[in-house]
Amino acid sequence: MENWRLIDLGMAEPYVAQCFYEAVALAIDRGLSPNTIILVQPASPYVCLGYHQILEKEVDVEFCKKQGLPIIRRSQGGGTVYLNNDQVFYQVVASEDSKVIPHRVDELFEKLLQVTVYVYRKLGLEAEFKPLNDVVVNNRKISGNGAGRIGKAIILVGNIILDLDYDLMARVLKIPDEKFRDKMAKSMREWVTSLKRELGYIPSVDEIKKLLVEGYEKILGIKLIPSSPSEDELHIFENEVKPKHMSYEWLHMPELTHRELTIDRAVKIADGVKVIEVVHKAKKLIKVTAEVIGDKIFGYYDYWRLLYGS
Amino acid sequence: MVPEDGVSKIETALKGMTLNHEDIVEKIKEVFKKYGIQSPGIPAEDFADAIMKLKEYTEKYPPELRPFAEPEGKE
Repeated sequence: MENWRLIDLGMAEPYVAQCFYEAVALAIDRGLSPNTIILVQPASPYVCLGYHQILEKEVDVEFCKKQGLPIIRRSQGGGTVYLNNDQVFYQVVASEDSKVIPHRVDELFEKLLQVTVYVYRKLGLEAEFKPLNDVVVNNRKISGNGAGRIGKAIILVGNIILDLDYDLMARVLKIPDEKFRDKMAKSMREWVTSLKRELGYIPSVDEIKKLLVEGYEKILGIKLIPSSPSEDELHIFENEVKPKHMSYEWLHMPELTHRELTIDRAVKIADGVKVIEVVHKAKKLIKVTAEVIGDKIFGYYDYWRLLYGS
Repeated sequence: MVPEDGVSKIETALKGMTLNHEDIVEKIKEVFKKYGIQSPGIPAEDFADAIMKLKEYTEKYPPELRPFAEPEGKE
């Protein structure tokens, strides 16, 4: 049986809650840390932008400034979300050498999200895993999850949703027409749910954490040893991870590396050159912004967003 | 997609390619294999379908409005 480390960060400031696991992943990749599960709640609210998203197109930056909401770009794809202490995050970070962690992303989700399903079922809800990366109750999403990799470290992050402020979730988004905000909030109510909405109350966070630990030990067949972040991890976080996430370059990364992304639909930018934006609905939305010359791709960029209930 | 920056590998590989579905699928599969990129739920064909929509769009322009230069002697 593998011994893994359990780090309960309690309530942590947004950058720690959102990014500290990257320091652990870097430490694992460098052979400095063991396989680890982190449990944490954001101590204060923030807005979390997907890896591929363009800040100014997705987030109402002015509103966030007025509200004092930090905007953090995560290292995983997906859409913009408003996060606060109404979520309990779990962050699983393991070396690819671990015998209990699948290397294929679909298998990773399928195995590790059994734990999320276990927690919700123990709390009395008919939760189900919905491929690729969702857990649903009555067809409504009740947990958001993402996977990643840093060197040799395999990562799965996700949350147990205690409660949701649908109106605020819609408020932080950039929407071309204000009339759409109510519709957006309504659509979220239709497709996303929470423990409070399903149970009528919020179970204690201690109970949820206890169930998560139980679930990981049972389903992964590991022993979790409570511990704290190492000096190495704290150093990596302060000197590498946090400065990267707080930098202008990281927050504006897609538009700085792909200037054509700031252009809407089809625009002629020079003789013989134009930029076209198309959206294709596959299992996820695929958005392609391409610089086209004749019928040749000159430079293009794509990203996709999670479609609730898709 | 894992790694998330696998997208930039696809971008680089497709630059300069003609908008041909079959060739694009083949190239994306080649990139997935070369860099060990995983894209569960979104196969290369879906990316190619999305990219080919660019062609539909360019073809919607009437010839006189096409913003790109046509070779001489052709419409």
